[in-house]
Amino acid sequence: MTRFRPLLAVLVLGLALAATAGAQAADSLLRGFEPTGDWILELDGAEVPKARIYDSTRAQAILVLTSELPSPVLVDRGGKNVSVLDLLKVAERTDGSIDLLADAVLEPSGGFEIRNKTEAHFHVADRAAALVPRPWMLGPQTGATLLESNPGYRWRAKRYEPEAAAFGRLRSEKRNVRVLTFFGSWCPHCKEHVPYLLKVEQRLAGARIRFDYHGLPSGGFSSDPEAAKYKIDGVPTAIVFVDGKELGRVPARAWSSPEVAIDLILHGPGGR
Amino acid sequence: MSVAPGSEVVEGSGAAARWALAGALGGVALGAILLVAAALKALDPHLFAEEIASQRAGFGLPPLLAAYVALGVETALGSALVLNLRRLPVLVAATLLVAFFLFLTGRFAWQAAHGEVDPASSCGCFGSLVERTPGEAFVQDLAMLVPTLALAWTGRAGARRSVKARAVVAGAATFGLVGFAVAAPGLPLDDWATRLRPGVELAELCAGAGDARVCLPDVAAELAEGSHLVVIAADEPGFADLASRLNAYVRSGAEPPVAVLADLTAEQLQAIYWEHAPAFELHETPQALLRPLYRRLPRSFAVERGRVTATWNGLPPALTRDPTPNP
Repeated sequence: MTRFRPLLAVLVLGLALAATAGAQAADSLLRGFEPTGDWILELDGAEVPKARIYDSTRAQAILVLTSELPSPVLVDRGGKNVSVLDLLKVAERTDGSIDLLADAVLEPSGGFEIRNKTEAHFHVADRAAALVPRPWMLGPQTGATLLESNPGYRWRAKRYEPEAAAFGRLRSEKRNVRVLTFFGSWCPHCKEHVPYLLKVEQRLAGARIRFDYHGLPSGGFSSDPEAAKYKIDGVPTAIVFVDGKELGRVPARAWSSPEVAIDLILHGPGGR
Repeated sequence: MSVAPGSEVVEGSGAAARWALAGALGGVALGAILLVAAALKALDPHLFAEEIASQRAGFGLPPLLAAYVALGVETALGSALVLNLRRLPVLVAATLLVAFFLFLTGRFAWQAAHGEVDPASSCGCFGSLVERTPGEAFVQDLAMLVPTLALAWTGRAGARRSVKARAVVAGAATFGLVGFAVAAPGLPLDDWATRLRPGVELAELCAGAGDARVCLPDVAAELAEGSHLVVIAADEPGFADLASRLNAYVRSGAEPPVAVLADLTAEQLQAIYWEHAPAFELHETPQALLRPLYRRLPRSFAVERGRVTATWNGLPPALTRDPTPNP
């Protein structure tokens, strides 16, 4: 028996590694669900405003958390099916994203039907549910409205850290500055970059820089009088005004740190 | 007496000879510009046809046929001028062609300035390889074409010897270039015909001017670091198969990560989201930025720390067993 011990140990270790590898594979796929504001949840035809919706590209799935349903719901876009799972198997990270624990058991709850090419309709806990695109935000908006209405904006704004030197100069700005940002709530680059500006605005609360936002529809901006007035041909476009006069626009290439671009427009190179 | 390009002897008074030389030089310069422009457009006649269609400049012909005809006319006139065949019909035709070019680029610049076309788009006058905004195209055409054309009209004797031989050469050049244009899409010339080739930095792949200028890392920031496979695609019937292969690749945990660049509307993105369930990053990229990077879709490339290291027609080898590598 003694001479079989090493073989047995290798066998046990091998099984343990195989089990771990399997768990990791499942774990790695159902991780990193990020808050999204792209979709709204409807139950029996009515919007559930407080539903928390998370998306994971890699997992090809949407996770829905709401007190209106007994369990979290996983909408698997790749498998075209819907499952429910135990809330205790949902782990929120410190950055606000979500992982499903490796031992989470997904209980099938049927498939989903795609309607109008952009909506997923399904049944869960005897209720008719749907994930539908969030309507576009059009016209004048405030930063607070954007953050309040879109969890994706909130999440990205929270993670962004403005550049300290530029930020300091903006905070000590003495002139009346207005930053007017044209955006599209449908536009992927706006979803990525406008939250950075929202964070800058949050941090500049009390400073002499005012931030305004203006939502535009997809497919041509000329129908919007404000966009036509400022000759907007792409979003996001942020215009910097000093005492009512346009001083410059944030270049398309500078949106990864908009506070630096605004500082450059206001104070020139070197922050004079 | 002096010697003009093409080695013909120009006879007459000193002033006349100088004008004849100036005219010959102007003709050669204008002809060379036309030939270079035609050759670059011949590398991707489908792109040229798209430009003709978008500017409604096809005179009722199907865009691709109009492209071949236009290439033929441009080459014939360019060759004739380079060979100093500055006969009246050649100069009149060249003048009409230049006027037509200036009308098109001028109209395009006006449309861009008034928001009627994307100001980041290129007129495509020199194919994919030359990046010019509509405004730049008009100004440069004005500066290059008008003075050379004016010069070409001076001392208009032109070649007196070997006229038939020169005409034959011009004709052969015309047929040769149009034949090349017809064959070009099937030739492995993508690295030559587009701005995307090994060694290029992604930060060099840009479109637009001024505040609206945008480069590839601006639409897909993660490509500037690490290794990636990138597929340029469009929402067309083949997209389902493409998405299926890419999804399988991602779910297998293979490295490097793969991303897709495509010019898509918000509605197309939402429809793709549910229909094809992309497990890969899908970056909405302006067509003005993408179009100079391919002749046919899909086209793929590998990128390492922001530099293109390989290109493929179709999908990268990691995603398919029978890719067609570029030369």
